[in-house]
Amino acid sequence: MIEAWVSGFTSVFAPSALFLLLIGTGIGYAIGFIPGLAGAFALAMLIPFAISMESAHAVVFLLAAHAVVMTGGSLSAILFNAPGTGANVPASWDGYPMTRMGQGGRAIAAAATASAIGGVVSGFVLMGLIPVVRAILLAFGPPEFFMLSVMAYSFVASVTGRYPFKALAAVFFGLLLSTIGTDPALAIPRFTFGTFYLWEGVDLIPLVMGLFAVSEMIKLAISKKGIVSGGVQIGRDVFQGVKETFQKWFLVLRCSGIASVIGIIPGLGAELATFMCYGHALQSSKTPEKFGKGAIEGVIGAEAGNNGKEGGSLLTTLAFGVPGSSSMAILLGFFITMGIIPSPEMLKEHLPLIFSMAWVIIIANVLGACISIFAGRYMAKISAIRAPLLVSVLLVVTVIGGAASNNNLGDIGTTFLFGFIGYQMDKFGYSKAAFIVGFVLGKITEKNLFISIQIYQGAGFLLRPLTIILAIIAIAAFAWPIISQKMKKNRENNEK
Amino acid sequence: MMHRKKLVFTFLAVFMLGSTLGIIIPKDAAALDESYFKGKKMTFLVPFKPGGGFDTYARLLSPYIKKYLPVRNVIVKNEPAGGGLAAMNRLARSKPDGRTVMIIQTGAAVINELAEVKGIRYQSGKFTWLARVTSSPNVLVSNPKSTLKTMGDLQSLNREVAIASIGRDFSTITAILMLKAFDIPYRTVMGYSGSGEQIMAVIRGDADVCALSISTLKPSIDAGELHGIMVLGKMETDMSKFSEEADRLNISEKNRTMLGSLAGILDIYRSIAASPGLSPELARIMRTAFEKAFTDPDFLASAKKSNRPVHYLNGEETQRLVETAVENFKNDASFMKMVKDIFGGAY
Amino acid sequence: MKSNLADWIIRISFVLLFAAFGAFSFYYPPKTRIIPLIVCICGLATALVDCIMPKKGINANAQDIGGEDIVAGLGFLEEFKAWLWLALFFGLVVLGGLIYGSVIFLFFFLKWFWKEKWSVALSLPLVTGGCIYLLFHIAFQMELFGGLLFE
Repeated sequence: MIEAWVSGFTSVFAPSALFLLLIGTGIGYAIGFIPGLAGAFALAMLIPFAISMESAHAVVFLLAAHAVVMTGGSLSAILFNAPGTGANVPASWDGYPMTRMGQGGRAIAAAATASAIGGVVSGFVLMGLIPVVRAILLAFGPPEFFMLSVMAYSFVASVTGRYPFKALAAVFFGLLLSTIGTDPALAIPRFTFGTFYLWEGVDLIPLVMGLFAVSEMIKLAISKKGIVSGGVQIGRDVFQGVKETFQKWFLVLRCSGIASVIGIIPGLGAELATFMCYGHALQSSKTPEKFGKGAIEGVIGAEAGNNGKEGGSLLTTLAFGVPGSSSMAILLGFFITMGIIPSPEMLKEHLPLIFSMAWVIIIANVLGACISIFAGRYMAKISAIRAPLLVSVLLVVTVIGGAASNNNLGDIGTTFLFGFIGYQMDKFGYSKAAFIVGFVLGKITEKNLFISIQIYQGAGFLLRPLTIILAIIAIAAFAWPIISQKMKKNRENNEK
Repeated sequence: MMHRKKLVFTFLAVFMLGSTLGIIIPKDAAALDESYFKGKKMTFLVPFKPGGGFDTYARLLSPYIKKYLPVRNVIVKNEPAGGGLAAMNRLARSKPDGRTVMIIQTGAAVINELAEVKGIRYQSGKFTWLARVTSSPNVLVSNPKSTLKTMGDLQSLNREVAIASIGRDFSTITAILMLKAFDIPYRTVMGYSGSGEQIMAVIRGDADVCALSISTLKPSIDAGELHGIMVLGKMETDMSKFSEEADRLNISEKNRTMLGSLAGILDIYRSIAASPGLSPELARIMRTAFEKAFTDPDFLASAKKSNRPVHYLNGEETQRLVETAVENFKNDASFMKMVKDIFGGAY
Repeated sequence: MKSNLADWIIRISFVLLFAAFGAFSFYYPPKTRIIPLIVCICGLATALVDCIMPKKGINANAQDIGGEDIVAGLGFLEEFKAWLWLALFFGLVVLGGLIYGSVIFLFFFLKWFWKEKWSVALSLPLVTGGCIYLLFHIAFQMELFGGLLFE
């Protein structure tokens, strides 16, 4: 095992591999930075280049690019409230307010450091969990996935904000929208109003671009303000961001751990991991009321979660040939070409190879963080460009980002429509965070619920031991905010 | 007299000049060759998202189309709406000017058309088929740890066989038809998001079987994770691993025919077509160009590198196969009934 | 929070939204309709509570995640003008495509909304459009939506 570990490490440092690692990291980062160009899209764009390389090099190149797409995406999420992917959304919830206060550099650095640590942890998780991954995957089925997604709803209780009932309405609104599309039970197109466009439902990227980025740009345009009013020394607090992340190392580790475990489970989605980590950061914080206004823990938690799930996701893809996401599906194709046939045997026979993949992830993440930290100082200054120029260009860029993935009229309409809706939701106090949670989780919950019912031909799936354990944890997760509030009140009363 | 001769002469001269000019100045149809495409843009429609198999083939092929046709550019356009049906509608209504082509999942196109899914505005047989990209035999697989090793085992199971499925996609339909041909009762466990999840479902034991293309399943079968029960479609590799039960279990002639038609469709699993109503000359030019692209050694090498097998078949043959398949299915009353049952009420 | 009338319109819209979708769901077979129906019933209940007891549970100190408060005093007219500009952007993109629509919109937006100089209003759109074209059409080999007039 140790030899495999070492030989994996050294093979990554071969000059050609290292070179491609660098290039892949740079390109993946850049694509991630462009709002709306999500992970799988980035890989799909890189396929033509990867094809012209030797297989082993292609894997290093693609893996490195894939590892840092999130890191790049967090930059545009923090600076412009324009998340690169759905999983970058929570980073914007605290990162963007920080940018508005002129602390963009600090936010970027914290995000980068947390991402790097998350990615490193996930690389080691990949290496460490190889012996047990098969057992885990066989034990976790749709009933457990269903319970996990139910658990994630507890997060909503923490983000209700000022108007709890409006937040609840927002969650149900998100859930309702998630039901648009082909239903999982009978494959019937639902609420599609006669269009083919809605067969797959409302697409996440245009929705997120519109809801957060476009609405924000309109807000700035109406108030004739820029993102940051000048005068503040922007970008000087970069190293402070790094330092603070290391100070909160335990939070980073916990979130990376949560994300790694979720990453192992295919089909749960990157967004789930990030939301749960943000929620965990919120619930474990001593100052939860600061979240949403620029709490650095929010940025740290979300970003650690982001990159933390990569190792687990890769492990599942290698162990079973079951890609956890569309990006993994692309990578899988290249693995097979290289002669890496995913199977438990392969995990034993090609250990050095798997370790070198883990090292690629680790090194790419560190590199990506370095790019963020050193470029962050200057990138943060972009946020201070005067409003007419910045807001106008960003408005255009975010609309294009929303529409670019699928390139159809429907997505363009969605982006604009949700720009309008997002603004109104802010104006009247409906929590966009709650809405997004409902939207993202709705599909996962319904799908796994129905699959479970079909497998067991009834509700018998609820009696699975693992499902029961998860249900108990879910109840605890829901109850915790209420209990801790009561405990807090009791403490305050006793002190009086 | 002179005056009239002059008139006639002039008239004749003008007439001859006009006719000559009419012949020399080329009309599109008259002197058609590849230069017709010079400077024009070609759109390559893909009915799925970027990164998938269909998309990869399109992107691999595009540079070689550019090599053999003087188009200005070949733009890959992904249009996954409606599971690809929107893209097929788009191809159907595109102008017959050779500037729109599409890589089509032929089985899905034919089956959805026969099921008369609402909103379909195309007819598979009317497209101008240019080439076959791959054929893809499908394999019905089960869990090696279960007792379901042959179709006979499935038949003697005294409960419904559970098929892991995505929805009404082609792999589900193939699985259902394979089971129906052997009169095996089934139910679907529907809702999985991709082939990977279907495979996991069978490995985990959540479902009994699923049917997918052999290229998707081969790694898992070789690794012993899945057991192949039956193969449908022509295969280029060794068939001895899988059992052929049709003779042994005496399935009816009707069902045999139906399976044969299905195998025919799997034989042209991924094919490329252009707009309906293309002039014969234009079709010929395009088919020739695609033939050159598909047989180009560099293209074949890059396809191999991407783990994408290529089974080229020329346009005329592909056209014939599609039209035959549609005809066969339409004449097969029991098949049509099965399809309507599967789709019935859903759309 | 904005004017009372607008607020009530939104609250009632939510009630109507859930009621409408709940009714639509009966168009589908039971298995397909069950989840949307449950969601609509819960959403309807929540929206109704919000209408009947609008002040219930307000926690003034709570965090407001994902959206900042709209600056007070923005005014209905200002907002309306902004929506008109957004609608113009949408129309231009639909007709002229993402690139041409954006370039033309930027020009008008910079000149007549922000009142920028001619030099800025002319050069920035062209630069932006050029960069977008280079990135998508050339680097990614991906053609962006070309607009109804051109497709």
